[in-house]
Amino acid sequence: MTYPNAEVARLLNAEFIPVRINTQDQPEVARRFHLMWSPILVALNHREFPLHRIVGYLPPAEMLAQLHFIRALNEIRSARPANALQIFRQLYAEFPRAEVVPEAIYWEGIAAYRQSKNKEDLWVIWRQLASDYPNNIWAAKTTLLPEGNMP
Amino acid sequence: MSVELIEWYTDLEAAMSAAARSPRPVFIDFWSYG
Repeated sequence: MTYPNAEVARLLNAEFIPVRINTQDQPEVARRFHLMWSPILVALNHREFPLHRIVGYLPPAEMLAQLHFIRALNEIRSARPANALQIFRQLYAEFPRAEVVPEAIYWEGIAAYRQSKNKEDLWVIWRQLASDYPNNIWAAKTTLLPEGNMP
Repeated sequence: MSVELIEWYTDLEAAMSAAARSPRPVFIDFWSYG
């Protein structure tokens, strides 16, 4: 189980507003979020902008990596790409083998581009993603942009 | 070592008000009795 883990609890208390909604007790809230199943973990920014959604609970290390990933997405959404880049580096250092790492690298490229406005900064990171994770769907996504929409 | 307890909100509107006062991402665990 994830929540008894001390680091998960510390991170949720320090960096998030943690909410538990029982879908049977609060069906109207569950309907608002179009849930097909539970447990589902939903992350929003402070203005209810959807940041991320996870189906099912995760083991503590994967949950911690996902929480850092959500923090980084929140920083990108809040136009603070430098903060996002710092969080991504922390995520890779602490959880190098977490499932979310290739997806995080994809978004790291976007954060780097948002920071510098230089497309080459995005492509340097995306090329490294394709090289390090050649069979991963997030690497494949970097090659499937339609012509004319290449960032 | 004592385990820190998570300070869960169970009211989404109260949680969003807290997030507006102190901007942080909101993490919602939707669960059921099974």
